[in-house]
Amino acid sequence: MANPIPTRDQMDARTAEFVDHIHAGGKVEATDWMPETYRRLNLKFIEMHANSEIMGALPEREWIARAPSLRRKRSLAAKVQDEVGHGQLIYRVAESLGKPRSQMYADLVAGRGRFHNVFHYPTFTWGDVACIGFLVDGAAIVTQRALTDTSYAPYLRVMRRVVAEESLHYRHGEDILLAMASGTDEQFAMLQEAVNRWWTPILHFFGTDTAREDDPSIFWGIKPRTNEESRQEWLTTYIPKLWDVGISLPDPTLAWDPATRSWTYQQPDWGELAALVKGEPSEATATRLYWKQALARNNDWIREVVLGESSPALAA
Amino acid sequence: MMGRSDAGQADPTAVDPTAVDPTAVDPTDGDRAAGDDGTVDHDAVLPTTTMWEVFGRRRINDSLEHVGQIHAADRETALVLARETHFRHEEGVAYAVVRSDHLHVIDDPSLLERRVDIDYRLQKGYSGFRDKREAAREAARSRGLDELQTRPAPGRDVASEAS
Repeated sequence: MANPIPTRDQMDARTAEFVDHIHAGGKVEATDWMPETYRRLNLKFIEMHANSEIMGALPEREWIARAPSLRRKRSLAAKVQDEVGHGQLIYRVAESLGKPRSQMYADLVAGRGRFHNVFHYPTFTWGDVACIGFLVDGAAIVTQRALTDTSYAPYLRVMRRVVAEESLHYRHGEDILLAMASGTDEQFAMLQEAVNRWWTPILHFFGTDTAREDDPSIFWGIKPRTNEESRQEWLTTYIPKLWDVGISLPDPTLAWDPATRSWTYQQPDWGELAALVKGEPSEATATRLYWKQALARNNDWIREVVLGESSPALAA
Repeated sequence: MMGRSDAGQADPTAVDPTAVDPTAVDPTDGDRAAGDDGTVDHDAVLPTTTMWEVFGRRRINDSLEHVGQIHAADRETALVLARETHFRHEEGVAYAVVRSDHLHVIDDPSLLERRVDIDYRLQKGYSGFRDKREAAREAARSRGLDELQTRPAPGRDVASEAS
């Protein structure tokens, strides 16, 4: 496999010209020539993003029937629909880089697809819905907003549309969070307990603190900012909002340092993250994938009638 | 990234402007558009031309948007006329034409009316945040959880400066 961050000597003239083009802020269309490393890294990144939209919808889907009011049920159902739509839009972009959508979907449902760590966890209470809707979605908005300047133009155009819908999801999440924070002591405690559980997964979400020059995604113009820059932006935006409503974070060292204008925090166990995303599917993921397979089996006769083909989920 | 396409790939926008001179006047046009009394109807659509819808991409990160229509006899002429009509002044980075009869349009507004309340799909469905935030702060105060920690100045300056 080629060095993901090639030196000048390792590039042929065409690749060097391509790298200069994206480093100068240039964009790349699906029909343009591109180095194999660029295609491969972009495909991996975008496929993982599409998978995450689908797997991210599932934990919230579990709560549609259990939502505390008709309005909450409908708004949660609408949000889940949006997320699945984002997955389809982003699979289309990934497909333009050479892997069929049906294959990506089959890989995902068979447990071979990679997706964000935060969607491997179980949900226990309505407090989890507040955390996913406000804190996890907030983290996604921070990283996705940065992607509206990615170098792959088809991805960039789709991300502009996705981010516009995410800002509605942010409102949806904040609405749930504020209702719980200003509710009964039991509701407040339920929210605090969920925040405690989501703290480490959200720190993990942004990835390890990798230097700009060591991150292939930055070298190839896939994402413009380092993991730590995104994590700091999220802390700056969201921690004061939690403090405002009396929610604390389970890290006594968490503090804003006005001198360095950055946050200090206890490093989470990064081995735990690697095991989660690279190892066998978690129990929650295995259960969600089982249901996806069961639904695909149940509904396959409709696909057979309409499309004349079986679900890719069953090809797994 | 115009102009970086593979040489082997057909670029639908690559029309040789010398192939068709858009300013050339077909000497027979006047005859064909002339009425029985010999007067020329300048608005008459020539039977050999058809309407084309023109779409343009303003900047690379924009979607294609409708910019207008032109009349042309074939795709090649349509691309030339679309460029001459709508993209003479660096209006964009890409454009496209589609025959008007290939668009399937629904313009009956009653079909787009909302029949049920779907505010929860819209920003306006989530309102009153100032009051809701204040209520949550008040709840925090009443629980004795209103300790003021050191925090960044309001706004997004920190993160955007860092990057």
